Amino acid sequence: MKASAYVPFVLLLGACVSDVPPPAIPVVEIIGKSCTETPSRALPVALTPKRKAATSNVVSVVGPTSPCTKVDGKASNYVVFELPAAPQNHTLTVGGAKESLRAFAPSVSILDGNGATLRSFPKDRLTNFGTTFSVQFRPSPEARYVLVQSDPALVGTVMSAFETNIVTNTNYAYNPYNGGGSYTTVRGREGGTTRSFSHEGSVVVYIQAVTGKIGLPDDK
Amino acid sequence: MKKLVASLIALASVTGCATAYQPTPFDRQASGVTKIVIISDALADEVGTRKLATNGQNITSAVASQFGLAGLVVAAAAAGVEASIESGQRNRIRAALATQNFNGEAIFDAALEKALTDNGFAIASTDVTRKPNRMEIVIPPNPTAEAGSAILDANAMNYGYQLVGGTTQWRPFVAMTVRLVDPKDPKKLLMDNAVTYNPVGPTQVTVSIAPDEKYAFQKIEDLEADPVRAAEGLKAAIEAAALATANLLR
Repeated sequence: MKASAYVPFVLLLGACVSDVPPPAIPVVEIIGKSCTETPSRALPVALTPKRKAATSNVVSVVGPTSPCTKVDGKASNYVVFELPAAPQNHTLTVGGAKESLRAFAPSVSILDGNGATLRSFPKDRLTNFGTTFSVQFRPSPEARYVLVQSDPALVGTVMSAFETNIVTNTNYAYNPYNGGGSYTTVRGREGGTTRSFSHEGSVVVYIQAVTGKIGLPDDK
Repeated sequence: MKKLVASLIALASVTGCATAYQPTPFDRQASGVTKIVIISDALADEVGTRKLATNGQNITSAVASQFGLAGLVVAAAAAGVEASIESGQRNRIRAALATQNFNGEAIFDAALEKALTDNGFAIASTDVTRKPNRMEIVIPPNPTAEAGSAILDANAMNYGYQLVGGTTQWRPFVAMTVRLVDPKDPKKLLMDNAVTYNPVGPTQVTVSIAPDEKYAFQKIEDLEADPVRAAEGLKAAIEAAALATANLLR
């Protein structure tokens, strides 16, 4: 067989292989960025969904182009979220998503309309809430923004965890009387993971309206 | 046919009404709580087991989907066999822990009281008998309750050892709900959440605690052969759940 005959097979094989990006690695140092003294509230990420909803999961990826500020003289990436109307009517779970190799090292503060800090959460308040390393709170009526910044004191530390999951597979069984059909089987999977806290990563805000909808406490 | 349509409409409406669990985070400063009264029935006297993704469940799923009514009969039999196996394993785990005079409630109470005291709370306890089905206790209003006090109800729906799938190992677990209420108006929640040690598929808003991987047993025989380590592993799980409960009240 000529070499050219193999080409279609190689192409076919190539078409089946998708390019899966490698998992993002922890960023433990911010280099080459010009950081401001205080965080800017000029372009906040809105927590009020475009369509009415009682819950919403807002993910903001903090990366190389994200703004940074100074914390105790050290650079810190940040993202500012704007709270909905009637902020006290919401439960927020705010923190860093647990990715394959890293988790954003969150430091969370609640700000008023002038940018003054109303409440901040010390490092020991961070908790494993499901898939995030986060804090949970209900803002006061005067709260306007949630500031999430990377905590230089936490960045670089390692979080090891043993995790258990259930994997679902869909199978097919042939039955000569009815042609057969598909069914699912489940199996357990467990193993250890090690993540480092990072200046970059996904910041997650899960917001739930206590009554009505987000920003609309009286909505049915 | 009409019954089928009515059933589908009812099912759809029930599904449509399902809402996500919403926790109530504790705000210590706003609440003014300085004293916590602990309901001293957090764990059942006997440890439990939890088996997920077992071969029996897979057989049940496969047979029921393929063989109609006959499949359902076989599936029910498989589920019965599975439950019987688990019951036997649970008894063997209980017997192994009994050799160590294992007392989950005493472990939890001691760890919780220490953690709350370390957090600066005054503590007290109250004896309320919980029904064997571990349902939530109905707390009557107490108009003369001490100012600044709150009642903490930590309730382990299940705890003990769990096995997830045929290729994993028996490991300790605790699945617990926790709530703090105002004694004058117990409908007023000051904190509400859930704590799970060794969760499988954690939820978005409740507390997950990763297990200490050194406490694992391939077979029940291995656990029976080392009851000291089996008791240590479950003690570590219960203490971690108590600490997580206290941390929700920081």
